[in-house]
Amino acid sequence: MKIEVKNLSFQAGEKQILRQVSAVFEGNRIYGIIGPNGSGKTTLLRHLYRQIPSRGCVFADGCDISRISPKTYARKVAVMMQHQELTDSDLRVYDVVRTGRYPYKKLFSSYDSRDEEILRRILTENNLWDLRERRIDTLSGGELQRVMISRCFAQEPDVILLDEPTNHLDIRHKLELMQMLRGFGGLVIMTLHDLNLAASDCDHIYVMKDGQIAGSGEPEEIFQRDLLQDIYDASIPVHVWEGRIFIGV
Amino acid sequence: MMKSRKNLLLCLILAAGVLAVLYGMLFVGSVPIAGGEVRQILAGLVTGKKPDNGNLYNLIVYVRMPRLVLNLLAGAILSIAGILMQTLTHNPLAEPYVLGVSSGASTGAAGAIVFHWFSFLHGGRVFFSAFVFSFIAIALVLLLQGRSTSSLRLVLTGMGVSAFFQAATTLIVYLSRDEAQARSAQFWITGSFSGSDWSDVRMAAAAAAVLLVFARVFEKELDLLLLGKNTAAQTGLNVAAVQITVIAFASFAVSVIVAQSGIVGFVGLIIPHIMRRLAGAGHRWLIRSSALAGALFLIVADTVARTAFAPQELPIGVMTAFTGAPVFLFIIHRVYHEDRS
Repeated sequence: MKIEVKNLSFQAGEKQILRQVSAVFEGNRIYGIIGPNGSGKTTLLRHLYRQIPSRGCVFADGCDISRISPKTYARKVAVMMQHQELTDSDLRVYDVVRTGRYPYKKLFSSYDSRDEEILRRILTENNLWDLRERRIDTLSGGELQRVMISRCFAQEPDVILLDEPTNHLDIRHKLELMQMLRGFGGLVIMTLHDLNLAASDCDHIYVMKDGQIAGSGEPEEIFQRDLLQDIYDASIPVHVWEGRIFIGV
Repeated sequence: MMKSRKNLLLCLILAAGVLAVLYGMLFVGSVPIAGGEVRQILAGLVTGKKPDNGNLYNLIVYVRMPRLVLNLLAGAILSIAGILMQTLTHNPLAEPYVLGVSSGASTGAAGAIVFHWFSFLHGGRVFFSAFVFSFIAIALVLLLQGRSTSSLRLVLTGMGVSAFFQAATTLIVYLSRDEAQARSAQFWITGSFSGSDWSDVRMAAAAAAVLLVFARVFEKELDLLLLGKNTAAQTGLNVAAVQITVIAFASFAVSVIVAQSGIVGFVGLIIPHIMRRLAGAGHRWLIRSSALAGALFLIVADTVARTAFAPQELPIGVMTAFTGAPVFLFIIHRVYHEDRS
């Protein structure tokens, strides 16, 4: 799967949020989008998951995504949001993960044994099978996160988009999430604040500043003291120890 | 699966309860009837044998039976409509009465009766007019609510819309020259099932059937909406189309009931609230169990309304408000308690 952004600009009121952004995301790799607050990371991602119309500037395998039907797109691209709107607490784990099968269902058709098989596999793999009857509001933060990523897996997508997935997560759950994403085996695109996580777990980094792509490359190329100084307007120490990059320590 | 077996059992118990009260409440009323006579009349209905006592036959078959069946259908419809509105607004307080949908329907119905709105539709004009106005009411509430998820704002908006349409209904009744034709303002505002006949039942049964089929077909879509509009859209749901469809079906069914029985508030609030605890939030079992529980509740409530202060009849809306308003206040209390913490 290849997602391509070509000359994407976006304005909200007077403010220019994206300026002529071009980027390519391809292969079964993990892409990180980093940058200071207000640099346009989340807005770029919103275009990819079509919360903001892309007006012919975003392509999936060469096809303009604004021409793809909602269900077809949801079979290719799954999204894990920054703030889940799960206010209805009476839903159960199984019901929530099962909604991920929706893109495969026609009107009038119900979830069938094939869906159940897929759900059983995904729930088992992610240690949720025993929790499947639990109400969502009784879960811990880590369990809820596993539910939401399992829901993405149930969509059997080629691409998973995540907006700041590690905010509010402790170190254990951050690592667990990254492990699940590596196990996914498809294309992953996420915005990240945590530079160390970006350095250790992403295959490719896009750096954004003032609505533009300010840098692109593998973590070793991106996490250089000079580049980070430019981007964040601050002196940020970068160390390499046993082949791993450590930032800000 | 465990859960569906448990829910099936819940529905069977509720269905048995509905049948039991349907039968039991045939005996209850201002004219006491002995059990043997009722059974004789019911047997006569099956075998086609004419009963000896024509008055009693008429009372059972043309007064009490249609009223009880209409109670059943109205209870089911109002409960399902409540669920649909709660899913649509993402809010447990949403309900036809609270959102002003019922008041809108009453304005439409009263206007069609008094001023002959939509007279080109002949017999269907009262229902159609009720439908148009209930649709306007809910569309108004949703437009004014915008993207806000605030419960307070939703309830206050509903109150405003409701107040406006109740005033409009009262004005229509006041302007009517023929008091009997317009029924009383009180009928529209507090509801009544008195005078129900089999033609009312036919209409309500059709509406209930349509609503049940709709809810069954759109089960997946409704479940998905519970995760929020954005998540639903990202999972491939055409949110706007589903929202409009849900609004149309819910207001259609509510307007059928309001046009016949006036405003019966809170049924769509109490019943789903309880059933969500028992059957979970997934729509398949929530809708089935709530339809049955709503039927059960309204049959009992209306029987109490017509007998508690006999020969005076209490408006049914008074009965449902006495039970529903405390639940309403309880949910508000809980929502705001959670907001603070």
